[in-house]
Amino acid sequence: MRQNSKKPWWKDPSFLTMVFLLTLVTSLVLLVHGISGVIEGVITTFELFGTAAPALTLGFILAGLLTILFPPTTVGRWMGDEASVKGFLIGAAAGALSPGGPYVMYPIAAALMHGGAGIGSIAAFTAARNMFTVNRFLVYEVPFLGIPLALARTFATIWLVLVSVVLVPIVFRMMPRSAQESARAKIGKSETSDS
Amino acid sequence: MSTYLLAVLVLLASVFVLQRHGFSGIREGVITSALLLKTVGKMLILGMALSAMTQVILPEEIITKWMGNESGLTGILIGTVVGVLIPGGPYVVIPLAGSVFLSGAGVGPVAAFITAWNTIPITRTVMWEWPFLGGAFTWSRMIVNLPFPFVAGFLSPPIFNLIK
Repeated sequence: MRQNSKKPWWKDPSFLTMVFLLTLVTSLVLLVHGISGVIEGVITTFELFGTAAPALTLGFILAGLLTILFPPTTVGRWMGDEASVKGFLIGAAAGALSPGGPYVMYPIAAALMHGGAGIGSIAAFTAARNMFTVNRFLVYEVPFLGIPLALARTFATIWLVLVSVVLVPIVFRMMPRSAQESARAKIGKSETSDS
Repeated sequence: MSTYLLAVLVLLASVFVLQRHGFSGIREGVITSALLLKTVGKMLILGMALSAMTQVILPEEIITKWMGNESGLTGILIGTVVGVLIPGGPYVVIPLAGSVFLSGAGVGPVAAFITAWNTIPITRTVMWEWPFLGGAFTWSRMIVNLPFPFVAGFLSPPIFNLIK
């Protein structure tokens, strides 16, 4: 499985992007508001940290416990079903519950697809991962956005999982046959090279 | 409120882990949490600093004008474009969304921003989805998901008002 953490942190592109963005925005603050603006930014950072720290700590503990309760391999086994309502439901539940970043999500989805899981189940899994994951909701959305906004966004989009389950397989079948087959072949390769 | 809710959930999860895996399960869970924190900790701090600096540099009037509750489709469109383009994980994007919201952005544009980042992000799609799931699936999903940020942008405000 591909793991970002294997790379030294100073070579991690996302870390470097963040450092670049922060430097850029801090320079802009310095230019526009002077040193007092930067101090204000630092104070706001500490305030933000102070407000979010208790919920973040609990969120991280919860994420760790959820990983023990629903390990990615178990989640994968649940979903190894053919296309059926049960497969869709398990796919959506697995997507919502499975922890980890894209380095966990996509290898699981690819392995499932290569193993014969229906496009609808994979669509359910990825849609649930994108629209609502318990982990992201509790660890990040609730502390930083507050419950009303986090809930409103979730309720507004959760039904789109169903839309994805219905429409993605239809659009997938409209793709050229060769693209469909090469997708499966590619999935096979990436699974082999990463597992 | 959210802290209490999380505390209850941690308690419940601990009971389940204890029942199924005993104390070693709890220890493993705490180690996993620490590893997770170690992995995203630096990025989380950088993300919070970036959102705080953004809050300082972006005047409330500008955010309210372009992304406020009255900004309508323009605000939702801006939120969507920023969500599509922004790189990084939830530790960057969600604090940023929170600070933009505090600075006067409306519920619709913020919901569109987060939903666009969730469903049609350029970086994650190119780096992860395409290589792993292939072009046919990725394109199918992207085509179907394209309107989702707008759906979120229009549906979230009335639901937010109901909840609030």
